[in-house]
Amino acid sequence: MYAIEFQNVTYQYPNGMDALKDINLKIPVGAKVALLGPNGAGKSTLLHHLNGLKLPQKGKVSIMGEELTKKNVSLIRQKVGLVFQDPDDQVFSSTVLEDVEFGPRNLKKSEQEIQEVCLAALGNVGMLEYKESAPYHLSYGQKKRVAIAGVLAMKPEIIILDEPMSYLDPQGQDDVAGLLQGLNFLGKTILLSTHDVNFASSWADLVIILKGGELLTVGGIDLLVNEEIIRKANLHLPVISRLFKMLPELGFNQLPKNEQEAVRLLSRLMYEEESRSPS
Amino acid sequence: MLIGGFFDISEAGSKRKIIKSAHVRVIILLIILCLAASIRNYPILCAIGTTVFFLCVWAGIKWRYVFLRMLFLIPFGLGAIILLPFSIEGKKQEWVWGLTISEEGLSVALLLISKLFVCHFILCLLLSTTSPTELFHTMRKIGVPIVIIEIIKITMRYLAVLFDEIERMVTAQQARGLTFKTFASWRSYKRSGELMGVLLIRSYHRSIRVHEAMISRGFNSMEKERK
Repeated sequence: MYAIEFQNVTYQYPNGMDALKDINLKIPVGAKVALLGPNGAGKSTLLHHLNGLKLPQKGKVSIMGEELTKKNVSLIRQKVGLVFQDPDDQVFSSTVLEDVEFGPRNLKKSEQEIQEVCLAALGNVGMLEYKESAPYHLSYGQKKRVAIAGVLAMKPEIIILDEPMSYLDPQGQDDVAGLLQGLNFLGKTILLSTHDVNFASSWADLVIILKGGELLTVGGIDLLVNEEIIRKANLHLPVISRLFKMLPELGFNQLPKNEQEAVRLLSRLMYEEESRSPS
Repeated sequence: MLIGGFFDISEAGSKRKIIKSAHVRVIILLIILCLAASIRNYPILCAIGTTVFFLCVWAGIKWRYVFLRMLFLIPFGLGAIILLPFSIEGKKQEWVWGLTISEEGLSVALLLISKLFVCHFILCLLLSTTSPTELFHTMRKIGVPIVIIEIIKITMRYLAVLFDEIERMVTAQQARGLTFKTFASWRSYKRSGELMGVLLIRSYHRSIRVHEAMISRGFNSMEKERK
């Protein structure tokens, strides 16, 4: 069983523009997936299909083995939590706690359970001390964490995030990355859309690249150092890969995908140099 | 946050709560508010006004907050009231430049101004001594429809966002040479209209996104009962 499965999914906007064209996709349970592509590639439309905000006009979307239909959309929304790009769109209540309670209340949970899951969710994102604060008193990064808590309180199996790193300062990005890592350790399948190739190459274990509503490719993070694919997708190589590309004299026949891999390659090079030099 | 801060009732903290129970406090102040708004007897209105003023002093409310809110009331309130002496029929009196005003109109205008200020002080007292959560909870308890409460809550939440957007747009215009001098010109009317148009479109798009975010967290319709 896959966490997410797309079979020949097609979606067209009312103005006739193709947002998704015949998408086929399989995402295993517990995967960390980065969805990349230029503006207008169809990333947000694809994410909206996972939560039932949009239903496929052709084809089939399955979540944890269950096909998404009009009838079971409420059930699917319990399984898939969607965090929107702008937290001001999502965090709309007058206090942080009230906003986090919104989802569980819609799920008709008991008052005690609502309190338990909401406080736990706020604790997970490090926002418990702000539970009585008004959202407009929070920083952008804090609002983002409240938005994630609002989704966590619904205990979804799959968490979808639309550009989670946008407008965040480096510390905020690190906090969100750490949070996502922690959620993945808890067994959640995480799918996020991003333009940040550096983040995708260091965080994801599966990469999906869309362009013009079409699925360009799916695979491991090796794809992010494939220059032909990167060029087609209007993306760029990760910074560390570009650095190695500028130093062909090092003699590496493969570009590193992230910092860890670069360190490993450099350590090996240094070791080989030391072995060659007469001591 | 500068303009949005005027609407930020959480900034209006008081030193004392007047009445310990939030429910009793909200109900009593709302009754006084209704009384002040409906009464036509000057001595009683004056007594209510004096009592409320002393309660404000005793509660230790922030006067800056009271006066900032008043700045928003004056253009709307006085704008409507100022025409009454000219428009209401009654015993005419000569004023300046050959203009005549009616005694009855003047009397109604004075009564409305008094009511406006007394009600303003009552509302400031209520908002300074009661948190938004307590206020909405009590409103729900006394039977205010949930739709009205949700509309007020969402309005409060998004006014701040809307004013932030106005500030960002004005800052962007300042970065391209907008000054007070250029703002206070006939051309600025056109620009204000454009600003309002853009805000309307942005608000409309935001409302769609907020609705989608609500649906994605299981929202189907307005909750019938909130505990």
